[in-house]
Amino acid sequence: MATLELRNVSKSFGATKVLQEISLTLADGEFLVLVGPSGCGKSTLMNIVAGLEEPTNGSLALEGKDITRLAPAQRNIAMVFQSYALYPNMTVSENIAFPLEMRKVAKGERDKRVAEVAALLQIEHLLGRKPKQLSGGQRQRVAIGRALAREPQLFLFDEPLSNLDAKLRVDMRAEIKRLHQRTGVTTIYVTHDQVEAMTLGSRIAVLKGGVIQQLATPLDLYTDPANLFVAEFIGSPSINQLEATAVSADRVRLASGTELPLGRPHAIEAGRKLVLGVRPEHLREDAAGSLSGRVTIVEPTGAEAYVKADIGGAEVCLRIPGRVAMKPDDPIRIAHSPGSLLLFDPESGMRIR
Amino acid sequence: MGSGADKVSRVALYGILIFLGLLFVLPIYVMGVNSLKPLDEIRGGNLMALPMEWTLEPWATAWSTAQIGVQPTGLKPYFLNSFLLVVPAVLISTAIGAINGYILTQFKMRGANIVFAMLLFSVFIPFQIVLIPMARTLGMLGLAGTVSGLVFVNVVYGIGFTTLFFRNYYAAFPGELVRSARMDGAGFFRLFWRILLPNSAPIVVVTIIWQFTNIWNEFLFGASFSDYKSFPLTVALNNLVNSSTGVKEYNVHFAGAFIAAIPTLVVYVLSGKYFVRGLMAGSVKG
Repeated sequence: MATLELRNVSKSFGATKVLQEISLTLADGEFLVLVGPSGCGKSTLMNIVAGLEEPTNGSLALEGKDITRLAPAQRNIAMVFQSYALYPNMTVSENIAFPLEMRKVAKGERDKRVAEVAALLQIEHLLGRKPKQLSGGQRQRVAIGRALAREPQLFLFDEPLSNLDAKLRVDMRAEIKRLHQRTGVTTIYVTHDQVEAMTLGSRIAVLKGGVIQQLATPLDLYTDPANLFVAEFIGSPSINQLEATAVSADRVRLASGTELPLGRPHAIEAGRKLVLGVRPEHLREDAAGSLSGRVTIVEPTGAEAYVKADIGGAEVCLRIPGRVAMKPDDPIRIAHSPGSLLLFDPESGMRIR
Repeated sequence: MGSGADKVSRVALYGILIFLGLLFVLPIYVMGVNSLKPLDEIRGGNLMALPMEWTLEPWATAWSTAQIGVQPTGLKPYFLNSFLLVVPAVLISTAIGAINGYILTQFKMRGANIVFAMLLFSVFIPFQIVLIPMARTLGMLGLAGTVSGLVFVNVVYGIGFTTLFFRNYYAAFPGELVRSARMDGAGFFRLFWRILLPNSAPIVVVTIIWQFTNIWNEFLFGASFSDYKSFPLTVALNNLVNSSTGVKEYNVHFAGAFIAAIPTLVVYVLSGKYFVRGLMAGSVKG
């Protein structure tokens, strides 16, 4: 268990800047999720923390000690890989004991640690098997066990659930969260799945183009995104985006001509072009609503339904709890929750508050 | 299914395959039957006929009493020479190829591709070109005319092939396994010994068969760099067949050739399955 500090970490391959001036501090026991689309630099950042790649610039400190130039083996960091990376020629127990053996832990102690980890992850019955005799979920547990057995100061997860089927992924997600609550090891978790990010992280760093777009708690990211990219990336169904023009500091007009109150004044002057963002759950069907349109698609999911409606050239999605009786082509009037509208600059995508 | 045309084409297919199979087996048959005949029958009759009088005499002669060098020793001592040559040469060249492949693929080494291209080029250098420089080198090393000298030559010549095999195999080796082992604390040799090598069985088999067959059958280096005590079997066989004195004992020649072919036949029969499988693994993934 330890703190981790990244100071201005950059990485370039030739002229390509993969990471730009990343600075982060992880508190002891924190669970940080790195999330972003593929190619955003999150795996490179993970490899730099692991010591598998060297940063072009910047430094890293683990528990206050500079580890920037240390080899992977000299850092007390364990990693769980996407492919699990179990050694195919070794049994499960040999796999779990391997990092201990490499660190010259005595045989008796090794056996004891393997037994402890196996009990914690409920894989005692698998210890004598080879990796190819295990299912995906079992392999994942063994990989986590191997990382745990070393008692590392820092845990890295590199998209550990993306090779599992949907049901198992949800189970393992909960398992990882439980494990973290139990062991309290400082963790960095890389994923491109925003649901994993939201459910696991104590904080989330959203990465795009090698730059941290926003670093915040899951709920802050959701309710108070720094820019349109974050607003779009987090949340499913995705946030609704409508073109709008400022009428006054607290009033905007949509392309259809409808005017909407913002509920509070924003830093906008009349006539400014805007992108208006509103989450699907902040829209509701309401006979007195100011938006009118026609239903285009109804998607029931059981607990709630997503209704898509055409409101004069733009389509919006509403998240409605329970059952809905609406059908395509029905006329609909829509109201929004007060204070739920987010404004963004259409050029830069930056949030306007 | 089962229509007339289908049946005809099937019969034709099997017919052709059986015919080709027989064609390939024919030389072994000719060698076999003629090595078991007295010399008179070969001179008088045709080569395809079965022996009228079966005898193991030609095999015994070829093995232990035929005139090859100065003494009538048979092929026996040269058979041993070939083993003393092949076993270390195969093991050493395979080991070096494995390490080369490991370094060329798993480490971001500056110029790795150039080194590999040069090693690959060595595969295409004809034997004849290296004869004279190699003779000089062996002379300077004090290995001229010895089995150790032949081991050295065959190892040097084999490294290009073995490196190519292992490099292509390891290029497709899962990178996460290597990274995981590095994080777990495995150093250069332990990573190789504990992670890569135990998962290299197919390519090890391919390399060993390839090297064994090549070095066992190799003639030019053997003829150039050995003396009458260190001849490998191929050179001894040549001497046996080309001895200019006395009658040509064809039955003994057939038996001698058969003796020389047995080890490679055994290696293929025992591991041909792995050979094909390993070649596929290397080529498809690499």
